[in-house]
Amino acid sequence: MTLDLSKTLDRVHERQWALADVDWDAPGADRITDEQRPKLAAFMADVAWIEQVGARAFAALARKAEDPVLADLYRYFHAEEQRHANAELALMRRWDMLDGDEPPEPHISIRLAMDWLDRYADSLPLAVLGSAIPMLEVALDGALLKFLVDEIDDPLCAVVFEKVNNDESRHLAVGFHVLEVIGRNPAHRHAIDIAKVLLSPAIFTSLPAAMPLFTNARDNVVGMGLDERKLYDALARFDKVGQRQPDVRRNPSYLVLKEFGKMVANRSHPYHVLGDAATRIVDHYPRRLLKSPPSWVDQLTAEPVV
Amino acid sequence: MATIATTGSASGRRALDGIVDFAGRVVGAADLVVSDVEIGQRVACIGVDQATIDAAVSLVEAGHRVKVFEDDPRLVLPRVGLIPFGRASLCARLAGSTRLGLRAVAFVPAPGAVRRRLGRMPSVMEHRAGSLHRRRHLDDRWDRRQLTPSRFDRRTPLRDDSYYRMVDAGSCELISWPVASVTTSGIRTCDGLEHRADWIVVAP
Ligand SMILES: [Fe+2]
Ligand SMILES: [Fe+2]
Repeated sequence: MTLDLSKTLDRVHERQWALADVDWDAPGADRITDEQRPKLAAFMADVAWIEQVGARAFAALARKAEDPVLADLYRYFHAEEQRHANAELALMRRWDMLDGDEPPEPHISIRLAMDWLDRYADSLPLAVLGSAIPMLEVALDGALLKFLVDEIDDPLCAVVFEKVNNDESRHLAVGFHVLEVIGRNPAHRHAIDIAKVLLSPAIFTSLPAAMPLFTNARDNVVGMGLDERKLYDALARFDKVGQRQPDVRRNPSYLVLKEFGKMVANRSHPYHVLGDAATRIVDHYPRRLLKSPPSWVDQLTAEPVV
Repeated sequence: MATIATTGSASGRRALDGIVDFAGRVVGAADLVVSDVEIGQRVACIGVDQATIDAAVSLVEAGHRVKVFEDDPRLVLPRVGLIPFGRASLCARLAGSTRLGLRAVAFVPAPGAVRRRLGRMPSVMEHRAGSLHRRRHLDDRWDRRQLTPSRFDRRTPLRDDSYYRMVDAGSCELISWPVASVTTSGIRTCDGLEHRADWIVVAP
């Protein structure tokens, strides 16, 4: 089954929404319990920043796609991920979780991931980024956001995440489609992509950047009460694409990421000994050693009208 | 504040249907009389080409704070005078001369592969000139990236010396999100924000 990208692009145009469409002062903001508040604040901050990091990855993809329609789609998805981040920040403001109107400080693991992505995303092959994105999206879309809507009583939360999920469904459809297309690449293309990745400095820093990010995000959401199995089930969707479409399994990045995702979701996997160690080290990473964040970070805002 | 909205992609144009209901004034970039814009008014201009870049620059020079919406950046080269100054100008001039030179020897028989290789040279040099031009005037890496045209872009380069400098100084704010729609009061970009405007300037 192949996706008609032009039709998808039309739908993307039709389904645009803005922060101004949402009544951020609607009743229900007080339904957040005092018990939920601190954990939810940390969790929402993570989600918003991860959306923005995802946005940066789409920006890189937009430059890599040779098909102009696909490049257009990625440009829109880049903006849509930013919209999700903005909307989540607006929810945080509604729930009185912000210090003034300033976005919360990103967790150190997210800060490092931002720097890593800003530095390497534009040089990574499409096969790698195009495989990583759908994996992160199934986890975010299938587990985290669903869980939020179930847990939070505020009716506006459901309204916002329905819009977000609507966008995400198209991101996923395109993501899975691209997985198939990449899978059909000739073997020598896959070989070139692997060589590019193995020879790039990105590979040495990818695990130190990714491990604390995933461990931290996973622990935050499980700490809020998400059943670990749901995360596992969500990732199984990523697995299933490969089972349905043998072509997808010809893409080495997909195979590596699929196994990596399973390891991260499963807390009893020995991988987490390493993951926890990396997280502990990163927790003590002196912030003054960080260079100033890339300027796209400043695009995060809860203000619907500027 | 003046707002220049430029959206070059064909798919982006549908987003502009709402312009008929826009409550402010709509004007073609070539017809814009800068003195008609009062200080404090916000202007939106749509479609990236030489006329809109010129309009943006004139508005900033007249003291208006300008926002540029450009989601599909074009190649911008320095204006080259009689004697080219700087590496970007030199490179742009070389590209021009190479193009002329190739045209002059077009009658010389050569294998197709060689012909294609040579034929691409001026465009490669132009893209190099554009990159030097951006490096010279834009300090911020993200701004530079967002103003870099796609390597598949084949539109004719624009000529300008001030635009990048204004973006760098912040007097001309670059918004690189695609335009989602035009409302009665302004422009909505796909990152979910609405930019209020009093004028919309469109490409002729
Ligand atoms: Fe998202
Ligand atoms: Fe997404």
